[in-house]
Amino acid sequence: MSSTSQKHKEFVAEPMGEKPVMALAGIGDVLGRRLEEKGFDKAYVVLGQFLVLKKDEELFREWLKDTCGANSKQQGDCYGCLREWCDSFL
Amino acid sequence: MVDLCSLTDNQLKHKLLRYGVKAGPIVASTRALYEKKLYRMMTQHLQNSVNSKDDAGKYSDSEEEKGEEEESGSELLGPESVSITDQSLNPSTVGLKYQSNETFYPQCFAPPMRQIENRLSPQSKSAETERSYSQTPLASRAQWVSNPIKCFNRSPVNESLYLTPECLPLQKQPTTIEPAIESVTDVLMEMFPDTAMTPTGITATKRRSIKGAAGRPVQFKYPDTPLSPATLERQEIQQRLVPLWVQIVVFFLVVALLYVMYISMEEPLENPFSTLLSSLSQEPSSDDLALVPNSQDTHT
Repeated sequence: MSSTSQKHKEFVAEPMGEKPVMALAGIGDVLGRRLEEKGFDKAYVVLGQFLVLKKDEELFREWLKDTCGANSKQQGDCYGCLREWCDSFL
Repeated sequence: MVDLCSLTDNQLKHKLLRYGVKAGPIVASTRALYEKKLYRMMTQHLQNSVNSKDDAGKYSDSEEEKGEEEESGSELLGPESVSITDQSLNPSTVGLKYQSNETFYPQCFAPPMRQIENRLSPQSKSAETERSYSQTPLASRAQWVSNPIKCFNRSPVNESLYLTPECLPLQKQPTTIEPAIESVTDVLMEMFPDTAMTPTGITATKRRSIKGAAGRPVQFKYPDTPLSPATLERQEIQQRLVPLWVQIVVFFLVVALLYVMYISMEEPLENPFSTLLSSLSQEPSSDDLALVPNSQDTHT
């Protein structure tokens, strides 16, 4: 899990506000579009799912895979960035 | 197997709880995930109950990680309890497992003493392991075997104590006595490395001085004492200096050179000295000669 990627750092640095879902680490254009199609258009919607799964890594990774077909690295990036965001802002 | 889709949210949650999973809110967006998880747990458990002999340790491990809090109450009636009880009803299996090298303890057979001791003193694991093996009372083990229901009733309480993942590798340690004896002698040798072994095994050693024993445990081997800055400086200087043997060799070389020079210069030096001497011996006469007229002059 590359927790030091630029995207990760930018996301974790500040409150997410109205950032689009593509701002999440590990979520690029393709995955972001798929998530938007399913209604997860903002990063905070994904955060809501992350929280309702009680920050469980296994379940969140699986959900991400089922929802947008993220691979293992993308799942890890997204999970890590949300968890770190929660650690600092929740 | 029950059709998972037909369960209500609450039933699903209760079922997950029985498998040790503390489920979060089961809502539209999470229900599918929890159904899948429950299905996985059920199939995994079915496999475990079929060949539970091999997977007992693993199973209890994975279960332990997921839900520690609610295990005492809700799991008593769970199917896995039956499988464990079945195992413990078979004493021959138990004995075999206890002596074999790759020992997997079912939950109720892991001796609690050993685990606690290992936690308390992780640095002397081997010795502690041996001691706890000997300390684990045979009587209680026998009681466990003969009284499996009671044993099971005890196990969930102790579980959170000694079945955490970091303890599990320790259960695979060989159960023979020899390594323990070795470790004991090792400790003795470590304490008194320079004592000779006597045939009786009894040795008298002088007492070690206790260095800085203000509440600190006494070690028998101290690492190199830290050097003072002055000593370090001196060492550094010594490293830069020319070694002593080179100094001696250079000294002798210089001495030899001087001697050779002296030998070779002896002959030529004689002449200047002799000429000087001769000139000195002649000069006074000339001086005298020179002085004499002066004196003669003064006299005249």
